[in-house]
Amino acid sequence: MKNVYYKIVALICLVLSANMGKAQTMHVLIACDTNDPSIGTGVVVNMENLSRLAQEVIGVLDCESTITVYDAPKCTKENVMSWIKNLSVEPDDVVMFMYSGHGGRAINDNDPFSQMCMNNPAKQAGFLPVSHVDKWLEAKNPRLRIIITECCNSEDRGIKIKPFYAMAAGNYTEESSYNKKALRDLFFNAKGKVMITSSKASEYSWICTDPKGFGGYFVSNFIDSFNDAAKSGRLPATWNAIFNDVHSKVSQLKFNHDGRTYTQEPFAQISEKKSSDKDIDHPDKTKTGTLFESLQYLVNSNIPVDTRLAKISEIYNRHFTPEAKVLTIAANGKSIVDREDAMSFLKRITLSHNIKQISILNGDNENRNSTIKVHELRK
Amino acid sequence: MNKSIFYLIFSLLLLNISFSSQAQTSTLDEETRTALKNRVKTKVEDFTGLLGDIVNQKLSQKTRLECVNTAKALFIGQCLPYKVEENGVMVNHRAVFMQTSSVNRSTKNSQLMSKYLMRQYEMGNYYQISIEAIDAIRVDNIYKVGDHYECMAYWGQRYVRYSKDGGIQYGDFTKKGIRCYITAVDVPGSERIFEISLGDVYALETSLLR
Repeated sequence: MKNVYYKIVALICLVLSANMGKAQTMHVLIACDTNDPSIGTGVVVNMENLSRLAQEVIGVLDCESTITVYDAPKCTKENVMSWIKNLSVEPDDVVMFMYSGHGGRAINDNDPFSQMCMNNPAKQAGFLPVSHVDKWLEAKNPRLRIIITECCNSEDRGIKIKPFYAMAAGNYTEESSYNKKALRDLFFNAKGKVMITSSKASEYSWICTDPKGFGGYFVSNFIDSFNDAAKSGRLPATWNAIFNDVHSKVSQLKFNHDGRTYTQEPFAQISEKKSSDKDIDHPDKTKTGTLFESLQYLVNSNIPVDTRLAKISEIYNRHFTPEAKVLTIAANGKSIVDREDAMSFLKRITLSHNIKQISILNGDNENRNSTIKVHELRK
Repeated sequence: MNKSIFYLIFSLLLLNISFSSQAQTSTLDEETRTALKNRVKTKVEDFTGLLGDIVNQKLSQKTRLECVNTAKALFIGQCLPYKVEENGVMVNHRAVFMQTSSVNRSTKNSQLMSKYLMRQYEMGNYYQISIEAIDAIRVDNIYKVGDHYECMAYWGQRYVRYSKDGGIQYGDFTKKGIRCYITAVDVPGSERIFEISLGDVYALETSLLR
């Protein structure tokens, strides 16, 4: 009898340990060539908008997450490859990769997706094909992989077709207004692949370079279509519906440049399968490692306010230089509607009853900042 | 003839004033205006939340005092006398005040906001107080005043004093108004930055809580 009992206990432990550490996680990498002299200012707008979108989705879904943002000069093929290689992906995880910058394609290349120029359009050896990112992420076997790119897909004689190679063996390369059910359907109740790029083969992609503007024509329309599915319900919560909507909007646009008129037609490969509603394991919001984690800690009303107030000095010293400022961006993604001393900001958000999450649109997660840009997701 | 000239000049003056008024209100586009009104609303929300916590004795004294200091930082001049540029001249202003009223008094009292906040923290002889905003905050149109913008925001406040046995000693509902200041800073090579500060708080109407 004792033997049977011990066997049952061992079996339960085995099942429990197999299920431990299986929290669904959303892994996000945003890579943007923000220093380019011709499009950099528009790419900065894209980077902030995409960062905010990712953080708001994660905040509303309240799921485990990793968010990495590479602006220039970190926006390199090597860094993206390293990120993928070091990514630890469980079968129920979602991986999202987004890029904004220059792009192009080799002549006679059959790959419908472009090569991303990363932070140096003059060095074609450093270009990274979007389809390579897709294959490397596929090898990680996440539940769903989403790849969104805004870059030209025009032909250039200077660009060579890049042969694909696998990663080396053993190296694993606001509550707001969101409809939570729609977000779950798009991310954690979906399985497969979503690859969307801003223009089809041989076409340029166009961007507004005004720093007060809306960024890329594709990214800004993509975010609108995404919000129509995830917020207003005007579109069904499927990636096909989102793509068809942004395709319809962007394809109608005409761009005049140097006496010629251009068009831009987004392209996608989407294979999404729906599965039944899955429970989401919620993240541990009591850690204060990165800037993002520290700010979410301060607004976490499940932690006693005295405890959170006591952490402010440590967080301030770790993430801000003396006299650092925090700029608050409005819901329109553009208007800077407030500027506060970092210390005043940290105290205000800690004591506020109305803040669900702080999204960081521009700021260094690891090092000290003299200025950061944030958006408050209010309850 | 003199009368005709007078009426002509008077009409021209009126026309000029109306055009000037349009110019003063038309420097912010609608999208920016909406964004700023939302931000004013969130700042007033934060203030009313802090006020409720200042008198909340379930919180530690340290936290309640932190709420006082954080609330002060929301106001123009941080609740101290301040200077504002008006028509190219720096003008001294007294510190922000809080106007309070009671159904037991016919007059309204005004006191410095810094003093009011400390008095709520100290609570005097009162055993327990509750202050909460119970109406949605409404923000009026933003208008230009000199080199900055202003607007009024309104909300309803429920104020209750409790005795030791938990009974209500006094309770009232007051419609409050607050003046808000918006300054715009143009940073070369970057976007325009707005800063919002809260100003004087007015007690508009008070009625007994039923």
